[in-house]
Amino acid sequence: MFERKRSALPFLLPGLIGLFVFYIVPFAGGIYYSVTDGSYRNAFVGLENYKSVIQNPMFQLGLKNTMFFSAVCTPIVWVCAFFIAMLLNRIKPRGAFFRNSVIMPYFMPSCAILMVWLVVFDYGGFANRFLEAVGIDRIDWLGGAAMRVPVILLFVWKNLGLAIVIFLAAMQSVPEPLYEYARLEGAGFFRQAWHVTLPLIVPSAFLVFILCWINSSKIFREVYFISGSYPDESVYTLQHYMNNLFSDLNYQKVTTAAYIFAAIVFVIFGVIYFIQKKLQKRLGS
Amino acid sequence: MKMFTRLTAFFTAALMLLAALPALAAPGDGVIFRQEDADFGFNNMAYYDGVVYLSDYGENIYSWNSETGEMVAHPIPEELSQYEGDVYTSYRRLISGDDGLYLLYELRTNDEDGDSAFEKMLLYRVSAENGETTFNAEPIEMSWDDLVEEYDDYSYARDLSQAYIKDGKLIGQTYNSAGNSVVAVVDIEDDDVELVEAEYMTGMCAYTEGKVLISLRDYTGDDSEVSVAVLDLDSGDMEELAALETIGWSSPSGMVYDEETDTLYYALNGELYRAVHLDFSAAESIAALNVDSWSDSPAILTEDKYYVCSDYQTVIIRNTDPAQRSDKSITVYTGYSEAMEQAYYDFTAANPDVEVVQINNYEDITQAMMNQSTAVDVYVVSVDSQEYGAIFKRGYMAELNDSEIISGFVGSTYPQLQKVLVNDSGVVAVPIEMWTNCMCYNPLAFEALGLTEDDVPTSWPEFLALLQRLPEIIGDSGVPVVDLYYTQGELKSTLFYQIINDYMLYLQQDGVEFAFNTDVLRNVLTELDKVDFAALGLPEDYEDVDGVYTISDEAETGPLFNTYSDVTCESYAYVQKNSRPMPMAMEADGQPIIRTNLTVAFVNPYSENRELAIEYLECAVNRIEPVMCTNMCPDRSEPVENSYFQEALDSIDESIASIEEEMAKAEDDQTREEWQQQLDDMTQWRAEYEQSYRWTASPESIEFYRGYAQYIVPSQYIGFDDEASQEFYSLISQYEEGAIDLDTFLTNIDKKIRMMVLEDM
Repeated sequence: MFERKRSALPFLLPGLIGLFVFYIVPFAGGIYYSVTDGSYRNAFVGLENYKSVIQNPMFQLGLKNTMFFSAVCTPIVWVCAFFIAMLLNRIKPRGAFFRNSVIMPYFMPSCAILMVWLVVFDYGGFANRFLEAVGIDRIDWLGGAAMRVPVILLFVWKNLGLAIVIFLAAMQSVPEPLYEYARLEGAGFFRQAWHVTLPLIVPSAFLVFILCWINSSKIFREVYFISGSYPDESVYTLQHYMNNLFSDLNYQKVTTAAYIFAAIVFVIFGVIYFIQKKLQKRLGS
Repeated sequence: MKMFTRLTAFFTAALMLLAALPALAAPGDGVIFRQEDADFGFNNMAYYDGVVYLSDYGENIYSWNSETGEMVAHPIPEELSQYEGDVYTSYRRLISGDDGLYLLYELRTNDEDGDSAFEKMLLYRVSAENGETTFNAEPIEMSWDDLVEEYDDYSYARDLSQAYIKDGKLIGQTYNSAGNSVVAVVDIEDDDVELVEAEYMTGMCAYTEGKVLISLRDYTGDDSEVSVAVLDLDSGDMEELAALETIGWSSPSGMVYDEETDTLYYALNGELYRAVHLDFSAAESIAALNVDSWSDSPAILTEDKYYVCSDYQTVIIRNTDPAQRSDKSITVYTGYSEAMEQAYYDFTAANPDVEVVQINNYEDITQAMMNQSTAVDVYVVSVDSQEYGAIFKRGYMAELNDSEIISGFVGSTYPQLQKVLVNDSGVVAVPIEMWTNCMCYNPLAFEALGLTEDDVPTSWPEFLALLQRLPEIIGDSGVPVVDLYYTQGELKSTLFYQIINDYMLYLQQDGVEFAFNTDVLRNVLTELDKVDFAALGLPEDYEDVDGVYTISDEAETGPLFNTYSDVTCESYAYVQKNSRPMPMAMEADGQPIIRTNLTVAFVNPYSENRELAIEYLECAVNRIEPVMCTNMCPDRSEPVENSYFQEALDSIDESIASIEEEMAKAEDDQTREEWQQQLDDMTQWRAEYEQSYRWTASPESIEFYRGYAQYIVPSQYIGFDDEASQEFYSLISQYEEGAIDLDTFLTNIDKKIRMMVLEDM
């Protein structure tokens, strides 16, 4: 067994070297930046930057908004993707067209999509005309706090496809007789989803959740294209904070903010991993 | 033992010899012509029979002796220039031909109304052998078809740049009637012109028979890519050879193709490159060039493979053997600054073993600092740029304290300038240029309206209050408020932007809260809204401008205010009695502010040639124009003489003598009277000239400048990067258009400002 492991090492080495050079080294290098003062002399300042960033109101605002987007977008994408995948899974093999088309938005460049979105959510756009038609006042979707709505919708629309594809791939492995058995027992669509499908695709379901969380924490481009570096406070994200500091050569605070955020994400994922393990154990028993 | 001693002595001597050998710049590198040192004006250059020829503006051509460096003048016979009645010739250029040199002239006529029209081009052949020149007085006449621009009663011939004559054809770069780049092929014998279109062509040179090599840059596309192509002059076909990576908007120039070695030489971003067998992937830099090689003259490759190129003031020669290139070099970004460019000559004279690469494009400085790049040793940037704001704040600049010249100069500048030149480490930047402007008032117009010096506003609220009262004060005096081209909206907009700009400077003052939603700004903008621009006699739009011109004819004093005028110690600003700077504070009794744009040079802290780079900066300091120094340094108040004064005065004296001579010859009283009138005018002009133009900066103008120079504040980057500025100006335009009110405008701007401030905490 030990010998087999050793013989695998040469095959793994290229990948490990890449991992070391492109991930471990920059990660460690970034830590160095985060404990220096960012001047030409790069004086060591210990954890001063961490203290300063954590106490910075804009970092706190960015973190809060980033968490808000993740907390809202992730469940929406997860739930929608799961049920759409369930439906698409039922219409195979005829549903190939739909299965392929759901992924299309994921491949479209944000700026191209944004043009369409701007037309829809412009003050005189379709969204406001619809609101007026149903007797509601127009809303400044692209100016104030209401901008969260188009941003969330855009994220969901763009990322739903990938989540559906992952769910669909996992659902292919669920044996069809289980559904037949469930139907014979009188289970409807939702019961089948909850009691048959979900327990059998837990790892994929968590993967979708984590991917959604990561992607939603990177919501920035869309807001940036619409409102620039300093948008309304309700859509100011951590990426804004880091981007603005970067253009000011404030690398030490950029890296510090990135590490703090990474630490928070690690904790969240650790909790998710723990829950997943518990759940799998319970379902297994 | 004896042997050992001998060997030791031998090796010691060898080592000493090695140390004594300087790493000289490549042999043969030098300056052929420099306008500053020459006694003639340089027009262009050509090459024939192993000799480089230079031309002035039609009086002489000069052959350059490569061994002695001497210029030998060959006077152009007077008969080549024609002045017969209304017909006259105008000298264009000297051109290299495969059978001699050629002089190109344009023949023009003036009609009775004084309109001038193109008639034909004349080409005179010059035989040049063994340094002797013979001018052929019989010109070849060319109708220059398709190369003539006509505007009603005026016409002129398009010029050809990079021109040469080969196989009886004059070939050069120009443009067609649609404004597109073309190569013109003029058949000298048949008097026929053919235009071969080459869209996006930036330069050209001779190639093999019937073909030229051209450089192309599509300005509508990727800004970092240019290409080189072969253009077939018979078929018009273009074959792209390679795409070249460049920095910024630089393009290859000064191209020369050597048929013998199948090599293309070209200048790019301060360096000379060669592409053997036109293999651009293996192109190598072979020398540094301190001229852009952007003149109209084609570059030259001499028989012994030296490269000669020119701009409009300098002609230089470079050795093209990379093996002989100096191993020490520094790279300087000049920012087109005169002082930085001229410093080259002093520096290379003091350091002949060091090659200086002058560039005018560079990668992003902040990125370079992040990468600890050593590519550029000296940078030049504007103090109000984002990049300077970042590097100054974080100290990414080499200390310059050890240089007495630099620290002495910086220490002698106004204290408010030193704030952006000195940081905690000491002196880190050198001011190279300073351009100052502010709003001015017209004392003559003030007097005409019964206003006194006490009425001159010293703050924006006072100025706007005066504007509100002005309709009453002006009455029907006809004195315009501002220059005539302003409409109501434009003046309001101009004042608005000036208020915002001044407010940004106000924010830079110590102890001022960094915010826009303040009583100070709100008060000024509210007062601006109260001004009735229609009542000030300004037109609503351009269609009404004619009417305003009628009013202005009555006003002899000129406009009451000039919204934008230079503030300098130079005499020209002082002798204009109708314009005086009007520095204004943001609030009554506040500190007035005059905005200045300061350009500085600094040394890359990662430079591997820090000592040399500092020495280059010292040379630049010594090359800063005296007037600029007076503008920047309060204690440098020696007047600066006008270098053209004596020459111009001599010319006036000659005219006076000539008039007196003519007057003495006059046969009747009427003619004598006419000459007398001319003499009086000329004498008066002489007195006026002597009084007003003796100085570039006179003692009076300097003293006057010192009176308000204390208010000058360098404009700095205050956090509006490109995107933030866009948002900021978007809010401004929304406010100007009335889409948002003052409250919303100030609140929104303040919100963004607050975010910026908090981010930086």
